[in-house]
Amino acid sequence: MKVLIFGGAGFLGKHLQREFTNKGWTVSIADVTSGDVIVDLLDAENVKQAVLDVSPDVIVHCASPPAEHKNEKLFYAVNVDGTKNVAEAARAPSVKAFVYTSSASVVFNGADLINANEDYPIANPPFDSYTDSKAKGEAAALAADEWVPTCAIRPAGIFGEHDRQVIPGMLQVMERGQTRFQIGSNNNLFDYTYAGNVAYAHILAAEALMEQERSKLARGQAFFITNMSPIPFFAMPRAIWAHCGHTPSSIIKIPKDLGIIIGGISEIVSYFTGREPGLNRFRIKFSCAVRYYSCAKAQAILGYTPKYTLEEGIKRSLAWLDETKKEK
Amino acid sequence: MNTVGQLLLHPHELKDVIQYKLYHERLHPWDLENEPEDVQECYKLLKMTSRSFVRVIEDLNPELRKAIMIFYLVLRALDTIEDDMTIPNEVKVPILNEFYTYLDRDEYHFDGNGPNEKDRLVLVEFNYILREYKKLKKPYQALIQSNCQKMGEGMAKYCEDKQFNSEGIKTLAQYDEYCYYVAAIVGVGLTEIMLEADFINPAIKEHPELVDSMGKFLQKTNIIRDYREDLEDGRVFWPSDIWAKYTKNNDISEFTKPDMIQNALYCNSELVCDALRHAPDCLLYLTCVKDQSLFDFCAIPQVMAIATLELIFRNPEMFKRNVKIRKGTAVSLIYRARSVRSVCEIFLEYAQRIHERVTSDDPNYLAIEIAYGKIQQTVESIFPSQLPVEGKVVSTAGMSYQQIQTLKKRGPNAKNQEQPSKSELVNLYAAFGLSFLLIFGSLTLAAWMMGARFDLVWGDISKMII
Repeated sequence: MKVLIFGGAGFLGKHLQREFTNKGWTVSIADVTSGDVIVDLLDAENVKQAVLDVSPDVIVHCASPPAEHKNEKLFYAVNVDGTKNVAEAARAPSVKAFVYTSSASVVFNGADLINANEDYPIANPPFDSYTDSKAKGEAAALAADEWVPTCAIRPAGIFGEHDRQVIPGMLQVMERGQTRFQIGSNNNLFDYTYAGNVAYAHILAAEALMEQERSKLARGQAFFITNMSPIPFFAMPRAIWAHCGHTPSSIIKIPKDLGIIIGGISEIVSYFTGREPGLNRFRIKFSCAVRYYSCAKAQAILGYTPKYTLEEGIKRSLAWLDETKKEK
Repeated sequence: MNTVGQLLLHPHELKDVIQYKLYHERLHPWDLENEPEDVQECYKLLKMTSRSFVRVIEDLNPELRKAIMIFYLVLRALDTIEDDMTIPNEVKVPILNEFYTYLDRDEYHFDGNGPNEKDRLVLVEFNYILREYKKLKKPYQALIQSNCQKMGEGMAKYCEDKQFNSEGIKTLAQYDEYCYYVAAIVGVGLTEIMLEADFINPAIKEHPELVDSMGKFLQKTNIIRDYREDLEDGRVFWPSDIWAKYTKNNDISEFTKPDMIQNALYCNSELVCDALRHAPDCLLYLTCVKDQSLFDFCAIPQVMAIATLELIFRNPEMFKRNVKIRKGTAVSLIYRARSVRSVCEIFLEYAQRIHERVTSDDPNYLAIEIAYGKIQQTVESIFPSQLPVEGKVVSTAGMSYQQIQTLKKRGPNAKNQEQPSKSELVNLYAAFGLSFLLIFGSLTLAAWMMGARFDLVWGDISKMII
């Protein structure tokens, strides 16, 4: 079996590469700057030609600008128009299945998500332009189900090797000596998902789409994918600090409302100083929100259970960070 | 501290204790004095062996009360043989293996127990039990017998297991297996009996892991709690693969030393975490029980276990003396544990306290947080606090269990069925109109027959209008 991965050189792409290869697949990477095929997603002909040249059995499309980039135009261009181009290219005769990497945030409207499942509506109005572009991208991808069996994977809170956001961010807090602060009760559960599991779910999805019976259930569907172990929000950073040998000597609990005031002040101060605020109201609300999902649908239809535990995911990620430091 | 002293310190529990002692009303009222002598003798034996079980067994639905009482006594008899160190293995093992066949006999009793065996009377007076056993419905007899066989064979296996007897339990898998034989089989038997009586959802048959967890959760909690007591008796049930990691000289009694307390507590948290992983299964099991008295019977030991687990979690006292939950707490829990919802609340409460007490220096920190998260998620799956309905996410706050279930069944896209459809509305108005006409007509007819002058009324009305 041959898979062509759009965005295969990125963070999740590298995990997809590894998992597909380990399963005995032939993997081709299509990406903007590196990979087996250099592709501009915004060039429909270019994308089409890449698919015809590789003639894969399965197309996986995980290319997406990181949410932190705050470049609205780029979000819509890559996530919506780019996805339409890939969907069109999936008409190529060799293609038997198309798996799109969406995001669990498509159902996030700012309110708590408590054990949310796929019956939850797409957030309307959308939370921000990134989630909006992912939702529209997902719709564009699933439209391809008319000509090729297609489904979407919606991972929540991805971390892992090659990620420069989640764990490095938490390590930064430790380096700044701010580990003692906790905002809110810390009873609120949150999903952190190791990228290897997300990649693994893509394989299961591709397999399901190519099986006659299961394909009927999986086609045109979106699936939430998590580590199936939601934990209190601050448990993840604390576990990571503990792996680095650090335990906060005591915990200073700041009630959510007070936190929001502090966040507001910090925003005002940063307005005058012109520096990015360390804390803002969004971050405060984010760390107090309940946001976790049910994987029951992926379990039932794709046969998904996480391949890596959270602990394994953390260890692998930290080991990678250590290695990259040494290389420097 | 004695019970009275404890109650003075925790006055909120006093009301429950008094109520429990004085005004306890049975779910299914009956009087032991009206029962035949054999039954009375059986209850005497039951009271002697287990004070905590008598109450819940007495409260059971009459359909199963005797069957469960006999099942309990038969297993107690087996246990009394297994536990007695004065009986040599050559005598003990054959009895354990064959005990289930004795249930086919007309007469059986055993007085080979040591004089200090506290429950020896159960075997001496086994004939009372045997006679009542024969009066049970055949299917219940068969289930008691087959589970008695499984349990006896399991016990015999452990009696003969040299490695087990010299080195104790080694791996986590052996620990699970041991808990299966000594506790989970009881749950398996009870579940089979409940299935026979249609007191539990038959879907449980597809989930044997839920049944297993019920017994394992209780047994593991007791094993952790009884560290000190077992140590003094020269017994160890903690799996050595786990505790050995935390000792210096491979000796479990090191945990009683003050300078080893940190290690002892880490070991304690690993075992508590392992037990806590069974909690979600227990909650799911309880959602399947249909009969209230059986629900209480199953739920009470479970809420005691979660409360005990919270009490012993990272509790240094546990390594110095036996710790137990207060009597008042126990009684309050018995009162509260009457529905799936309140049992879920109790589990969440105690699990949250465990979560709040664990610190990230603990090697089991993440595992405990995951176990806590799983309990929260399981409760959410039983009682969702929000649901997608008609393209919106609605909060279920203030809704009853039934309302939530109806919403869940209706699915996310269904139209609100509270509004009747058009044809339903037409029918409704038609029915209303018809019955109005019928009543109006019959009243008018009755009035006319009694001599009402409608002609005059009509004339008056026409005058008024004109």
